[in-house]
Amino acid sequence: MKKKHLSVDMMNLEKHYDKFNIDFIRYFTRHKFGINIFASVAAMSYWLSSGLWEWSLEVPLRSAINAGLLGAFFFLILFTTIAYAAGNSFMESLRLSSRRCLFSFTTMNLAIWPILFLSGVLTWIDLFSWTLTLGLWGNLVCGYTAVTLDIAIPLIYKLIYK
Amino acid sequence: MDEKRVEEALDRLEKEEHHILKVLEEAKESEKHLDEKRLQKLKHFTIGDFAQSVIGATVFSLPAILNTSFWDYIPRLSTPFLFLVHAVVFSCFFIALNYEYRDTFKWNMTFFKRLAKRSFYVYFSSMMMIVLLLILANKIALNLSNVEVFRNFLAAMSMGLVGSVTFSFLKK
Repeated sequence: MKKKHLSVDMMNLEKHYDKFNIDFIRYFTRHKFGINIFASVAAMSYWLSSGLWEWSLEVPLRSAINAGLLGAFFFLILFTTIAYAAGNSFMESLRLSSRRCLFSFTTMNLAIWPILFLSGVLTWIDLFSWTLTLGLWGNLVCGYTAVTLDIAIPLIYKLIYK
Repeated sequence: MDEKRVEEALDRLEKEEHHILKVLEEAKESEKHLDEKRLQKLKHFTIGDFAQSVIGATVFSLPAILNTSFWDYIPRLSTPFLFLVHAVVFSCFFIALNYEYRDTFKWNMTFFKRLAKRSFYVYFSSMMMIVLLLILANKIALNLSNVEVFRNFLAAMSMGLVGSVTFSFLKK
């Protein structure tokens, strides 16, 4: 089938032809970075200040870990499937989606850890097990909101304005 | 007769000059091609690059992680000092990575963006291995405090970074 969408990588000066627009997977732009940070800060602030905080501490750790792994695999498989449907090979699709997930994960954690330390919830003398629990919940809360928003907001913007 | 000899000598000199210029042009072309090849390698982080980072980080950090006298020495160093050492090693790592792909350190925004991305990939790859080794050596454990885990990580990661850029001969 003829490839329709031309995607230009301005950093590497390369051209890619896809069946449809998958730039939201290929490129992690400044806008996505900003949306991710903003959404992570908002999600963390809501989680720390609402009743969700107490509820999350009562949930068994194993269930939280399973929910986290499920979310991570869900986004990875979703991005891989979309990139594959756009006409890329399986390895190339996996490469694009894992790169995208890695950038989102790093950006979320750039917001999560400073908020945890600055809010006083976490200190340097706390046990590492407590740090991991808070880190896991932070990633869960931000992953399901920030990653969803950073895909959805540019798509909604394009639908409305173009 | 003399004029003929002078003309022959001039012709010979002209041919030699033409030959030298041709060799010089070919050398320039091959060097230009080499820079493009090196830049192409910078753009894409392959499985070979990942393996090189991981192997280099492991080889350099494993002897220190397994050495008990290394962990006896670390408590004498303050956390800001360990952080400073890590920052210095990271800047040396960045400079070494720059010289792997070009022969200057001139400011070039596009090149530094690509280099920053490559540095992130190499740091993350090395970090995955170092964290695994620290967990195996019980230097990252659930019963330790955050500051102890952070100090152990900084100490091991500084050595891992040195190894991750040193082992570039594995790809050649």
